[in-house]
Amino acid sequence: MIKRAFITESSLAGLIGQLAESGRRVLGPVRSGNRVMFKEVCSMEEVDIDHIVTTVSPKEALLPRCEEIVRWKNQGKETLMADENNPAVPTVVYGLRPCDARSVEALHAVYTWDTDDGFFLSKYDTTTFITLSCRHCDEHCFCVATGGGPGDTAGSDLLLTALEDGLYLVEIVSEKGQALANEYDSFFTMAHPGVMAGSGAESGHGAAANPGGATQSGATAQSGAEAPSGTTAQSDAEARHGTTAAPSPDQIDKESYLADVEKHFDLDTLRERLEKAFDGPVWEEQSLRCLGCGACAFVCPTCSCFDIQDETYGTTGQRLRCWDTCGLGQFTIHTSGHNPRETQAQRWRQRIMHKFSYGYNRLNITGCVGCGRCSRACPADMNLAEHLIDIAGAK
Amino acid sequence: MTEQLQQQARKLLDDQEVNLIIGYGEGSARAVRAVFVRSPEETEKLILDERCTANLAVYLNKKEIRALGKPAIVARPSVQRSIVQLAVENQLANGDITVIGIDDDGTLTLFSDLDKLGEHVLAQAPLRGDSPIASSGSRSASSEASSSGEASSSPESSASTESPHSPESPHSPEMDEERVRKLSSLPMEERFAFWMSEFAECLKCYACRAACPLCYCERCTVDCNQPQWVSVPAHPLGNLEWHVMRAMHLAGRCTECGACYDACPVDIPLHLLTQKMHDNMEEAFGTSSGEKKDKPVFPLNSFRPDDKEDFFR
Ligand code: SF4
Ligand code: SF4
Ligand code: SF4
Ligand code: SF4
Repeated sequence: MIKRAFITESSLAGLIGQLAESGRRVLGPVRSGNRVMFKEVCSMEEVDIDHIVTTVSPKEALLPRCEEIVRWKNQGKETLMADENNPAVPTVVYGLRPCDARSVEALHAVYTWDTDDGFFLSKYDTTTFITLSCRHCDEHCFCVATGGGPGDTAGSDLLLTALEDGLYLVEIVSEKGQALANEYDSFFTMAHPGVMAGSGAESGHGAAANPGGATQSGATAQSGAEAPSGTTAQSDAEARHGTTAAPSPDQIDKESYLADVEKHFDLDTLRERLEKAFDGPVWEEQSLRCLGCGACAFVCPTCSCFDIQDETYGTTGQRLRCWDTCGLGQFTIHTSGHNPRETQAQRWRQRIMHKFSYGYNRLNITGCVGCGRCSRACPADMNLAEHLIDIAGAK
Repeated sequence: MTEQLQQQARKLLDDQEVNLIIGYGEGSARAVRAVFVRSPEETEKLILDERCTANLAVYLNKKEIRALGKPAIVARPSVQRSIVQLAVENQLANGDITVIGIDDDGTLTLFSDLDKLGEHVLAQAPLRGDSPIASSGSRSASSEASSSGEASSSPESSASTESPHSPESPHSPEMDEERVRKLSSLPMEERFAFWMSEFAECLKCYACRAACPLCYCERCTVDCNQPQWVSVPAHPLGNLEWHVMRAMHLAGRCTECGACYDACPVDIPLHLLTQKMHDNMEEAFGTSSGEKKDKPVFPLNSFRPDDKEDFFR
């Protein structure tokens, strides 16, 4: 079982500050107007918490939008090459969502498929993901249908779930997460700090004013753990008055703190139908309004395609890896001018097939984590979940 | 309004005047989306309300849509302007399309003659100032709504403004004009710093290009690599080059629909650049986009041996 602990809001802020001071690169969601992007932060004050998911995914921590692969210099008849100018910086990504964390596994599968990609792996090995589970979702979220969920631990090193009154449940998911928890163990606690402070003395107050963690959902969680059958007002009150013991991290009913994300479709049915859909009319019907603009892929956490660009400056030059996407017409165009994916329908089919069929058949992954970013970003309202339901049938 | 539109659309299809209608239909949640109606029965899908602000003219250039035959397009004033500009640039000829013009007051007029449409647009309000969509558009309407009271303080409602493309997106011609004015009044260094920090977010997805009705080139300069004119990677220089190039290529052609900004996934207000360029062009050459002139001039596209400037001769 995954090890658990608590961390208070102030300890968490302390931890983020210390991580930044330790020389690590700490990336967190930062808001500027309508845009919430992962940026390097020094303290929790810079971090935005008021969003469903960030505008662009955190994949840039592992796969920058452009990164150097090699540089060269011509010296007489010789060309000197150097590929050590893109070293990984030890990084902590804070505040990504469970869907984002899950996408890291999909990226990892692609970048270790037949060749181990050194640039990706060196970053992967030195990055720790501290994920925040979701208390809210919107109409574009469909993580559950893709196999994840608002409290899913896959891909995370630590998963934090906000309980109440500034207290978080910590799940230590991986060895990397354990190492970080060990290094900074003073920030974590096994005792429920709210109840310790609030028991007895605060019992006369209303739920909202009680630092004992007895908001509506907190009380439910406690009674769920202590008295499975007791959902009456009386047992809630008992819990609130501290007549039951303070819950340990393991006694927290995490589910009760999570967003309620419905399961939009059945993944197996979708895969089965896709096997037979290649030549069907669905692609053209669905993609007519698609502008082929690529925004969906550039915000996506699991899109992994790249382009190689050489930039020369006189006798020196640089080879860069840049994001690219199958949604753009230029992606498949040959030097001859022939384009095997000539229409947007073929490109849309590729996008869906790659994510939900090819990736699964070859790498045993689903190349979509249901974060809904593509649907939010799309200028043409190409709602991905709607299209998948269209193919798989509603669940 | 919707009923009249549906009737008109049905008639056009019944009479086999056109093969499809490009219009607006219900989308997900509060959104509307482009619909392509190909049979009289489907005309029920067409809607028309204040949410219908997207520039549908962009679909007139798409191969996949052209393949469906002759279209009729539902055209609010901003779409009408784009169509006129496309006609001025010889991208549309009489007979290519039928325009179902919808004016601000809801008047529906059919145009099969694009010169007539040009005259109609000229007779309407000028490009800016009292822009149609400005006063009735959902964007300005709901940004007022979201700034009022408790709704905006709940996590749900602030979360729903997450997408820069949601109808709540704060963007209207008045606000744009105000932003251009503010930016123009800054010292050059500050202006440059502002744009460099905005461009730093650019992902080079080119959604802005794909959403612009006037970015119709088969091969964009950024896609040419022999020679490579513009640096492709999304690094500071590449992004600066792209945005300068885009603004220059649209200078005096941009009809200020804002589709590029609406498409940008990272909310870069790049439409302000083309808007400013429009003002500059008007000042320098007395030209305005989206207006049919007797002799269309393209100040940045034309070359005359007797030009008074000699630096490019
Ligand atoms: S963002 Fe929308 S319009 Fe653009 S390529 Fe993706 S699906 Fe098509
Ligand atoms: S395809 Fe869309 S929903 Fe799926 S992971 Fe990518 S951005 Fe998220
Ligand atoms: S540049 Fe932007 S605002 Fe101007 S016509 Fe194109 S999409 Fe519209
Ligand atoms: S849409 Fe936005 S992010 Fe994409 S290329 Fe244009 S400015 Fe850059």
